[in-house]
Amino acid sequence: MPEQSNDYRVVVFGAGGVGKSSLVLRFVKGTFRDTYIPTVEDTYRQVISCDKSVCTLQITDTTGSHQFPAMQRLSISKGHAFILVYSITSRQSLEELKPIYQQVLAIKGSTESIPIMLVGNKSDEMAQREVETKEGEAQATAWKCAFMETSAKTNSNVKELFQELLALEKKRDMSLSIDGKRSGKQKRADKLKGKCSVM
Amino acid sequence: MLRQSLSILKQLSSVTKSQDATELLHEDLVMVEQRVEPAKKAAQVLHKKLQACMQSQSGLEAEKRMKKLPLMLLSISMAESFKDFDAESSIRRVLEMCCFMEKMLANMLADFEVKVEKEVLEPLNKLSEDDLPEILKNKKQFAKLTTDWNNARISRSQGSTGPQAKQDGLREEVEEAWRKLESIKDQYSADLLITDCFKHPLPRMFKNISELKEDNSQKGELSVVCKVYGEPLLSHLSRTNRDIAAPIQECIHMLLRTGMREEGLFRLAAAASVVKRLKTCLDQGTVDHSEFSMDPHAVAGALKCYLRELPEPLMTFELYTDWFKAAGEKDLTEKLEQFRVLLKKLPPENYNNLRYLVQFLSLLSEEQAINKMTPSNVAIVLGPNLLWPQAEGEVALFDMASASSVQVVTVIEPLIQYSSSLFPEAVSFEVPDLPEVPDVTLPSPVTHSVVAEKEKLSRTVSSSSSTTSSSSFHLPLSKTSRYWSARTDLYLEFRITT
Repeated sequence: MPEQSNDYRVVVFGAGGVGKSSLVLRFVKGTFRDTYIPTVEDTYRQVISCDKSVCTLQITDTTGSHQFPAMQRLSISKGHAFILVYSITSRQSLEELKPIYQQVLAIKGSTESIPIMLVGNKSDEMAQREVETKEGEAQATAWKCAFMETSAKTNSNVKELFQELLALEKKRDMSLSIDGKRSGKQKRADKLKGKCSVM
Repeated sequence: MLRQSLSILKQLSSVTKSQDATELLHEDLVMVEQRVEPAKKAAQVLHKKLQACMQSQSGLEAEKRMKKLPLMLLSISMAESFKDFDAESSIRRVLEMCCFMEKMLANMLADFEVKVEKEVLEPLNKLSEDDLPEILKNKKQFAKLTTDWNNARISRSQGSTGPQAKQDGLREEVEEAWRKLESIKDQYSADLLITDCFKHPLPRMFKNISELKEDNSQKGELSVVCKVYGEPLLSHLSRTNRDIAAPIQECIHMLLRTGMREEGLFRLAAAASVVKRLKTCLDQGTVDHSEFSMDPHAVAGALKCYLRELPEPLMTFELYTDWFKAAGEKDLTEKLEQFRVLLKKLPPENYNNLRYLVQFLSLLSEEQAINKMTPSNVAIVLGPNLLWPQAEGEVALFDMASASSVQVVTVIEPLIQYSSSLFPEAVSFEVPDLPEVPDVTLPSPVTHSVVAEKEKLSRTVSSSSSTTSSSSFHLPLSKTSRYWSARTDLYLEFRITT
């Protein structure tokens, strides 16, 4: 278990082309690019409020195109929270997450106190849907983690995803805003309850 | 009364006209009878010689045998020798590997010899020492009784004019002799039949020896050699007598046919199970192109895996830093010149395979309008599988790899982009005819290809199929003795009548 530091590290995992980078970029920069560029590995930093102070939210966008077990293990052992992304248009991409989840479980010992979000991205592409929302929910129940469907393209549920993830962290009190808008965040989280299931 | 005995006599004389014992036997049995003696001889000689072939002491457990085998002794000395080398030494690695192999071979040999002894030597010994002499004894007795019966019959016919009592006595004598003759004839026939049945197992036993041997060598190959994944490039190429590694060539052949237009080829994940099956097929050298061609992402995944699992990257550890130095060169002409120099420094095997692969990737990136895989994208997803640093521990690997996998793109991208100028050799695979998009962009040295090579390829693949055989023998007779050997799934079944 990493020492509590000023950094809060979130690692984004998922198969190639499911939209990990798009999600992160939408959250960090608020933009969406319709380009097709695989990621090697990118890290984004953002200052957030944490325990009445500030800390750096460090988001690691991993590559989905080549899994090097050694690299993956290190990302996991360094990470505090995990976002597991699949595309609702590809059943295979959900399958791909299973070994990653097992890996997280193996390295962290237990996922009880580790914030993990299972994310079905590309929720705008309803016509190509292969994975039903129910199936995603069922998988999240099995993994005892939270679940959400998002769309980086239409900016649906993206900010909520990160808020929810931070809310899952019980060891620290974190929020995305840095100017102490506690109540605002709290309301937001309540509003979210309907959309995401927290196990 | 007289008529009755006369009719018996008539009956008997019709059966036995001559004194030769063989006349009493069915003609099949006569044939078999002639084989008994040579069979005994053969069994004796072969038993002796086969015993001499055994490398281990007979009668011991497989484990004890193994310890005394020369192969095991070799393995032990190797184990002792490699301890003196430091962990990094390649000699140590080779010795470790050989030590393991020799031990495995010794183990297999010991198992094999135990099996040969149980399944071949023992039955052979029983055949030559017990069964066949028994038959020969019966044969003698049969001959003697035949003579007795004939004598009795003759003396009876001579004394047919004598008193009734004598006649009766003689008749009883004849009948008694006949009964004895019958019973020994039955036994002898049965013996001969067994012998005949043994004739089936006999050649089979020898077939078993050769099968066991074959099975052994196949197992050896399977575990020692048949792994293509993870095998050093050079040893794979020399073992299979190839220029291009089988997984590279096979996967590219499949991709050329069905994968060129696939969006995100090499980027998107394929079903792990399909990739695994394809890898197994490639390991065994039997790939059904039609089975996997429909799943180009799995084929791309298997190809990526092969490159990644090579003990040394295709672009070598030695030139690792040189590649980055060259890629850092600002001036394009100078950069390409440096690449050319480095390409010449690569071992010829690595160069050939890299050329083959990069020429294919270049062709793939020409379809970028459809597959979205630009040279840069291909370099990002495939680059880290072509070049990685030699690292001590996992942490070092990670730190170096995460930094270098960004850099590696700067090496691989120009390689793909300027493929035609860096690799002047003609493309040695069949360039598929893709309609719709005009092929005017093809670089000049691309030649349309050689079908012969493809044929050669498919031949080598189909001929090298290897499966462990299991065999059973059934003879449609009653008594069964079965030898079951769990380890090889090979069982032998002899059925013998009594």
